[in-house]
Amino acid sequence: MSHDKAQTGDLIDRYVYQVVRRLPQSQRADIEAELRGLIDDMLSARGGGKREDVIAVLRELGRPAELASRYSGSRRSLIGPEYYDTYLLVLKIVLAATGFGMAVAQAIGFIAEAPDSIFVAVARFFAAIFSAMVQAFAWVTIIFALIERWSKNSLVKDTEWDPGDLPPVPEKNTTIPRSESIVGIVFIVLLLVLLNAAPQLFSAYILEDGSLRMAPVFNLTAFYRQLPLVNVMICFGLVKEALRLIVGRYTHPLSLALTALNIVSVVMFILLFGPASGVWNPHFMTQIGTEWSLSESAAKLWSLVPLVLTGLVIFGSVVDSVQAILKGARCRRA
Amino acid sequence: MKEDVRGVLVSLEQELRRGAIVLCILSLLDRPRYGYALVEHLEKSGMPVEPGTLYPLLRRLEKQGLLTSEWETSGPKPRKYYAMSEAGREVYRLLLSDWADMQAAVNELIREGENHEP
Repeated sequence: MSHDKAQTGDLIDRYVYQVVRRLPQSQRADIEAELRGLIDDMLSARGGGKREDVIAVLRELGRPAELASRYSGSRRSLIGPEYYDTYLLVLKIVLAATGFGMAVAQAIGFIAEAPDSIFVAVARFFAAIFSAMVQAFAWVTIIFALIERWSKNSLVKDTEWDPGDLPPVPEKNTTIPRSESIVGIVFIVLLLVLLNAAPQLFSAYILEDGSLRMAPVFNLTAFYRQLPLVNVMICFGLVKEALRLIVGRYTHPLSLALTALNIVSVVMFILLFGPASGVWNPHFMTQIGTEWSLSESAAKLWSLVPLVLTGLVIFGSVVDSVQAILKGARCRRA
Repeated sequence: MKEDVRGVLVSLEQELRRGAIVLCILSLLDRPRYGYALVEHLEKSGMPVEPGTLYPLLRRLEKQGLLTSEWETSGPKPRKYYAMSEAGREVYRLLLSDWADMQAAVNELIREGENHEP
């Protein structure tokens, strides 16, 4: 009998613990005392403290997590209804693009370097696609969770909602077509996948005595060292497209956010891929030069590539930012 | 009745009762009572409320200032007693008149509906 009592007491302890551990520290002691009193009352009402009675009572109270959520009241969510639809859309696009990009990258990888056996090849193929898609899922979710957190204060939650604040139906040239952002996201994800899965694909392909030789554009050791930062930079691009999708038209705050992201991205690009970075393969020209017998001046030309590329990126970002600011300003006047 | 329609009915019934529960609780808390006494009383009166719903609701009403609470430790086991605060009484009075108005209006609508039927 005393053994039975100890067991039922243990069940109650375990239940109460599972409820209160989910609640704020300041309320735990009080709720625990009240909950224990309740369980005791419910047991007396059933006229017994046997194990079956305890189980029935705890069942009636419901799962600990559910009871705790009734106490805490608010339903917490990572991504609220405001952004959920956009989140799903972006998630589908990103997953599709990631799967496709990874499949292409793997296939090309197999052509460049034949795998030992078909079995290994198939296993590697699907493992690579799966892990890439898991990562894509995680990143999209993280980005949207951050957008949700950052935009919390701008959302009208407690303040009076004024229909007069509704933005005017945008003119045709201030709306951002969804297709534009979707194409943007697809390209960004493909770039992300290729850079991570197979940076050696960025190479000059030289056919030498019937076999394929590759002269990589990047100095791969340096490239891998800074790959995480490269990914962060590319993710800023994803954030830009997600913002465009969510807001749906050019507004002043949106153009400011896009410009800020552009500035950060350009600075990162200069540091990561600019002329001073060691990421470019310095022997690229000599490697293909031996094959194509290029002159000395061609090697000099190669050293200009990072400079030209940086110039193009700066130019593109300035155009993008100015365009966003102009359209945002036009919309505000409207 | 089909299974899915029964499910809809159950959730509609719950919604219908949800608002009335607060009114029932306040009606009983004219004097201090503890949670499980409320559970038993409501059950006996034909308005059963799950303890897992009632206890969190009592805390919420207390936080909103409609109830006050006090631990009673002199009895055989310690219990937390709830009672209406001044604000609670005021709110209860207003809710009662709302309830009466709503009841009259709903009954009137139902009567009209019945008269239209052949």
